[in-house]
Amino acid sequence: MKKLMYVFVALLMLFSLASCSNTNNSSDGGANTSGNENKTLKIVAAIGNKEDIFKQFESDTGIKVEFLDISSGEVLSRALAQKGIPVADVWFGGGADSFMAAAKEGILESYVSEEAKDISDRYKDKDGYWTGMSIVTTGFVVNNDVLEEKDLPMPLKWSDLTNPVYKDEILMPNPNISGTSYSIISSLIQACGEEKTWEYLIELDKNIPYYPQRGGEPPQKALTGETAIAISPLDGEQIAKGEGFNVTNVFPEDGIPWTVAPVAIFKGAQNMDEAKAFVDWSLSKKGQETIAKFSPRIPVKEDLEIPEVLKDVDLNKLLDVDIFKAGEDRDDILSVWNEKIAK
Amino acid sequence: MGNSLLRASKLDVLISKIKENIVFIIIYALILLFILWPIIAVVFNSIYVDGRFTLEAYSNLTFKSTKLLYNSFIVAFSSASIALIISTIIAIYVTFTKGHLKKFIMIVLLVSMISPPYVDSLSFIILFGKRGLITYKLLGLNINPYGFWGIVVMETLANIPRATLFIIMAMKSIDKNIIHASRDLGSDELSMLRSIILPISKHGLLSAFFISFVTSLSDFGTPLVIGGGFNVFATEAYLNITGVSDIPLASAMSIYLVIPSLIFFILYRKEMTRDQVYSYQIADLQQQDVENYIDLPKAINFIIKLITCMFLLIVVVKYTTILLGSFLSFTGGDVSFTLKHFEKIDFAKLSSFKRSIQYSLISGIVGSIIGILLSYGINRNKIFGKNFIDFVATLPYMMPGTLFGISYILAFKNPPLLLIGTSSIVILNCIFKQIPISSKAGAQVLKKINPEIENAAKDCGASNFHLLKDVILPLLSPAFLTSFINIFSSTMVTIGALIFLVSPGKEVATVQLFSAIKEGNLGVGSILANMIIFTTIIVNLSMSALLKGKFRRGESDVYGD
Repeated sequence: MKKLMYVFVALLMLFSLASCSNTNNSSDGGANTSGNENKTLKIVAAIGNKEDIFKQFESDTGIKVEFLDISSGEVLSRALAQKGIPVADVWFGGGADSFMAAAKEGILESYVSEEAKDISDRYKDKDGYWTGMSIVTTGFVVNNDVLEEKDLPMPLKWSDLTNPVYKDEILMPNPNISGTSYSIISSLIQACGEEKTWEYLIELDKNIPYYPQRGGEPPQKALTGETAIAISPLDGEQIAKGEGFNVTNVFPEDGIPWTVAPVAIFKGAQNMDEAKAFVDWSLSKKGQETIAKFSPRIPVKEDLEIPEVLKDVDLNKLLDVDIFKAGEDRDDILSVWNEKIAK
Repeated sequence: MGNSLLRASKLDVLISKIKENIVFIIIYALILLFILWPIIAVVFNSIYVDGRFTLEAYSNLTFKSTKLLYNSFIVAFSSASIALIISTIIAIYVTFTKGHLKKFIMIVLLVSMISPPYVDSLSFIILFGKRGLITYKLLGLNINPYGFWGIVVMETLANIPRATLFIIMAMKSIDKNIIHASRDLGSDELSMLRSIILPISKHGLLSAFFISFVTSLSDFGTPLVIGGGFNVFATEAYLNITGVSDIPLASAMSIYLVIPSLIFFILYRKEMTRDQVYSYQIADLQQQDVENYIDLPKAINFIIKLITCMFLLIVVVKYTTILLGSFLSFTGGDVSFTLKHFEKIDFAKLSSFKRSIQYSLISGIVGSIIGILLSYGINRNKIFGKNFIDFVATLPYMMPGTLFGISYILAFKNPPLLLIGTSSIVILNCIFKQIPISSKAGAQVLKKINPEIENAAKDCGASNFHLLKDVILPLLSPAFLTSFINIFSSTMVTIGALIFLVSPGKEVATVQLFSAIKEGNLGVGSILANMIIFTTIIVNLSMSALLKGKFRRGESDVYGD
């Protein structure tokens, strides 16, 4: 019996050790307020090459970053479930829809960064719950091999996609799940009016075999030739992924839908000062340049240069979108989509 | 005076009763706290929305949901049935024929239980997709693998290893005397298979089907990757969490999803108890090492061989693809060798990997002990409410992993049960998610142990404590090994629940793997998958070597071999 007890005790100790090491860490973060060396910041993030971005932040400020790669929808669910206990300190990147919903639910901290002053009101929450840090453009990822094999023309405009020759060759993520997909629909509605957009989407639907449940699926399938055309976010990250594949990245000539990728602080963040420091940094020139380098997108600040890979994008083609209205209309638009188009 | 003495002794009896059963009381309490309580929290969350009670989440399930539930049921039923047929064939091959591949098959089965998430479906697409290396490049076909059959094939492949091991376990325990007797009575080999071997293995077949059915029903990952336009209920519930963040609706859906499993469970339990009497009779003789050959007709033998070899081939191809995936670059429509993926394996990924091993070890050991003690308590002790406890302990397997994760957030967010953000919540979740496996493994072995052994020990004056330590636990050591391997392997590859429980800086390997795949980096994903596969194999092998050495003596004492 003794042996058995020993095993039990040893296991209990191992177990409490594992949980202790954790509590120690978190209390360290709170206790040390002098000097940045021992400070840690917890970030949940959905953005490409985040390791490199956080490394730059660490070397600029001395604040250590611990992060978790998790999609915006998952962050929102988790935050709603554990209401009152912050998921992390900072929420970095992802769909603006989720940030708007989170602000509404009261789980974000209002913080207006000095650095956000010269960011247009179009890209940030008026109460400071979140601030857009980059603009996510959308377009088509087209597999040249498939086009050639099936003798299909290169689509250059949204209106091209309804051509019956593309039957079953276009993938677009389910807008109920994908923020990008929803932003495309709402952008088109704002730019072209409801009636025309729904007519268009019904026509487009004839060419779409199904609406994948993950935003990342269509572009990935276009790269490997599993589909000819993907409707997808089209930023530096996506373009980099396509390097080496025989694909063409198309920014539609008749208008580029877009949304913003925000940064926000959770209400009750354990490391509030560091969180604010991160938001300041991410919106500063240095931070913006770092983000542009590792995850190139159109910057929210007009005085910043457009990253090299996106130089060719005609900014005049960006649709005139009110992302706040898009957020408000979300339920209505999706219920129409589910009724008219979902299968 | 005499009266008080009597009272004192009554109290003593009560105290010693509690003392004797203290282990089981603690185990039952743990099951209630870490399985039932989180589930209650989920149910509460689905009916108490925005500060009022409502059944909206349940009534909102429309025609579309009924369709999805039907899809789920058909997928689970088809894949569990096909898996059952193939598993039975492989088990017959391993147990009753003179095949040369037996050792190899056992290794393949054990390895293929270690199936890191997403990677198998993705390697399936690489091989058999519209541009698949085999279907398109090699055979010039342009087939569409997405949809119902894609899911069923993947689910079946995932179910076969575990199902086969269950059935082999059952078939190996068949008394060879029964086979000899029927042969002496003039039964031909085929009808012996039909009317003796299969009926006796019924509990193994049922367990295999049950576990396969339930796992497929609650799996959302496979349909997500290769479902195409074909959606199932579990995926929809998952998307209600990750896409729409509607937790009440997702909770309600998961509860609907548990219902078919529940009905199945009740039927299954009935069958199992009916079986028990029979099992005891054949349990006295262990046939583990004695070979039982039967000579089936040539044609049937050939079919058995063919199917077994086909399965082996598929598994070998699958793992070769995952292995090669670490070194291959698929860019430019061509396949080339590269080492560039290894550059991306940084410190964060390695430490998340270390954390995975740590969590899995603790879960494997603690989970096995709890599960086996639980199975003993349920099968042999006459404690009030044990059927209920058994039922509760099976629930984690019927719930989609994501929801079991969310349930822990809902249940452990308030003091004194505040566990959010700790490593404990992750480990506890892993332990209790896998309890059904270890208690089933324990129950399987218990069936083979004649209860007379325990009665004899009791008659010789052994206390419950000593009985447990000196008789039961050594006897159950094979179950400990099976369940450790099962839990360790499952925890190494689990993801659904964990994504909601791990905190920043405390990632586990599968979360890293999922991130890599989300970013389209199949190479890094493959490397992580291979690391998971190899570590799991090494740990499983060393654990079984260790245990075999340690418990051999105890085993031979009782079985007398």
